[in-house]
Amino acid sequence: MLLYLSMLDTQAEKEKFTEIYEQYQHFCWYVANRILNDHHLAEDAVQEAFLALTRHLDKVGEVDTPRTRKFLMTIVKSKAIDLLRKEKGEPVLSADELEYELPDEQTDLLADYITRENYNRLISCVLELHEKYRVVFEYKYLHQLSDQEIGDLMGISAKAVNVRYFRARRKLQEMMQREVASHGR
Amino acid sequence: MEDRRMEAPQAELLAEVLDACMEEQLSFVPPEREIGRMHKFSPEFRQRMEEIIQSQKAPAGKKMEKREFIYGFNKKAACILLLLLVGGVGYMGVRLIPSGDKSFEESASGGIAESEEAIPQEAPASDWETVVTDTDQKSGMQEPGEGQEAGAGSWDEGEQIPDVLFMGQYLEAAPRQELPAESGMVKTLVNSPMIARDAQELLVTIGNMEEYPIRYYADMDLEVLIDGIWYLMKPLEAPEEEERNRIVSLESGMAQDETIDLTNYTLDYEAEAYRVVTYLDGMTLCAQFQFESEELFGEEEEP
Repeated sequence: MLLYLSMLDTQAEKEKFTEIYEQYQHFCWYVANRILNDHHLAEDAVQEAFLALTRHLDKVGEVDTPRTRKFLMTIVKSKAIDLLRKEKGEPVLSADELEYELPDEQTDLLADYITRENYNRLISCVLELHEKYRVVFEYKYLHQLSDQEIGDLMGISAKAVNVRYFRARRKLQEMMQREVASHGR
Repeated sequence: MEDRRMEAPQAELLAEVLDACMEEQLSFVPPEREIGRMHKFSPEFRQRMEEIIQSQKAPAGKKMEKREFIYGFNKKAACILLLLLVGGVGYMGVRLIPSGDKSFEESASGGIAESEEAIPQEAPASDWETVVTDTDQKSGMQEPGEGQEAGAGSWDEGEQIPDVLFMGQYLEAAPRQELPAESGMVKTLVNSPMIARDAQELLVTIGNMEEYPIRYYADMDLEVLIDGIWYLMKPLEAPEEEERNRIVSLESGMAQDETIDLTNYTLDYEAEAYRVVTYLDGMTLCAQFQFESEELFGEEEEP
C-alpha cells in the first residue's frame, strides 16, 4: 500500500489523481458492480483500480475526456474480473491457459477476419467475448499499452498477459469463424 | 511476428471495433450524479481513498534507496553481532574447559544455539529482511540442484499469494509453483547448478530428444525462491515486444543454447534458489540454480 501511495510524488500528480477520483468514482463503482453484482466488492474493485492508476497516471492526459473515461473503465473492469476470480478461488491463469500453446502461424487466422466488410460481425463478436479477454484487447489496442504495462495494471506477469492475449485471439477467431460460416463472408 | 499476424490497418480496425464496443457499454452507464444517488460509498471505502489522496509520503525512488541502505546495514550489523557472540562464547569456552566444569560447557553451548536463533529476531525490520533471514537459514540446508521439489511452500496452486518485497521491488508469485525440469524427451538445463557471482550471463540449453520438432519462446522468465515460494523476477529493462514473442523451432535430436542477461536483474546472491522458466509447446519447464556462497565465515574463523 505504501508503495502505491508514495508513487504520487508531486503535488500536480496528487491534484490530478484527486480530480480523476472525484470525477469518476461513481462511474467506476457502477462498472464494477455490473460485473460483481456486490456493492462492497465493487468498492474493493474501485479501490484496486485507483491504486493501480497511481502507477500509471502518466497515461492519463486530460481528465474530462472520453479517452480517460474508457481507460478507467478498462482498469476497473479488469480489477472486478480479478476479484470475481479470487471469489471463485480460481487461479490467475485457468487450467486451459496454463496448457501453454504457442501461437501457430498456420492456424492463427484472426487477421483474415479483421476487415471492413466484417465490421458489424466483429462488433457483435467482441461484445460477446468474455470480459477477461476483451480487457486484454482493450489495453493492447485501444490504450496502446505494452504487455509489461498491462501486466502491472492487471497484477499478472507479462507472460501471463501474452498467454491471455493469444487465448483471446483464438476465442475471437473461433467466434468470427462461426459468424462467417452461418452468414457467409 | 506480431506484426505479421496483425498488420497496422487491422490493429487500427480492431481498435476502432473495441472503441465502438466500449461506447456501447458506456451508453448503459447512468450519469455520475445519478449513480451517486443510487449508491453511497461505505465509510471504510471513503477512509481508504482519503488515505491515498491525502498521503504525503516521500517519492518512491528515495524510499527504495533508504530501504536498500537499511537492508545492507542490518546485514552487516547481524554479521558483526554473530561474530561477537561466537568470539564471546569461544572465549568463555576456553576459560571454562580447563576447569572441567561440565555444566558450564553445556550451558555455554546452549547459549550459542539460543543466540544464533535470536539473531534474526534482533535483525530489524522490513518484510524482506525477515524473508532474508528465513531463506538464509534454509539455504544452508539445501543442496544445489535438489530444488525441483522446492518451492511448493505452504501455498496451494491457484491460491492468492501476496507480493513480496525483494531487493527494492515488489515481486508477484509465479503462476505455477511446481514445475518439472523435463517433459518426455524435452529438457531445460542451465550451464551449472552453481553459478559464479560475477557471471554476467546464464546459459540455458533446451534439448529436444523427441522424434518431432518442438517450438519454444526465446524469452524466458527468471524466478527466485523466497521462503519456499517462487516469485517472478522483474527485468530492469523489459525486452522489446518482438523479442518477447520470438519463437524458436528446434528440430528432433537437436539442442539450442539461449542466454539470460543476469545484469538485467537485481539479484540477491544469498537467495535460496533461482530458476529459469521456459515456455514450450504445450508445456512449461524449469531449470534451477544457485549462486556460489561467499564463505565469509570460513575466512574469518582462521587464527
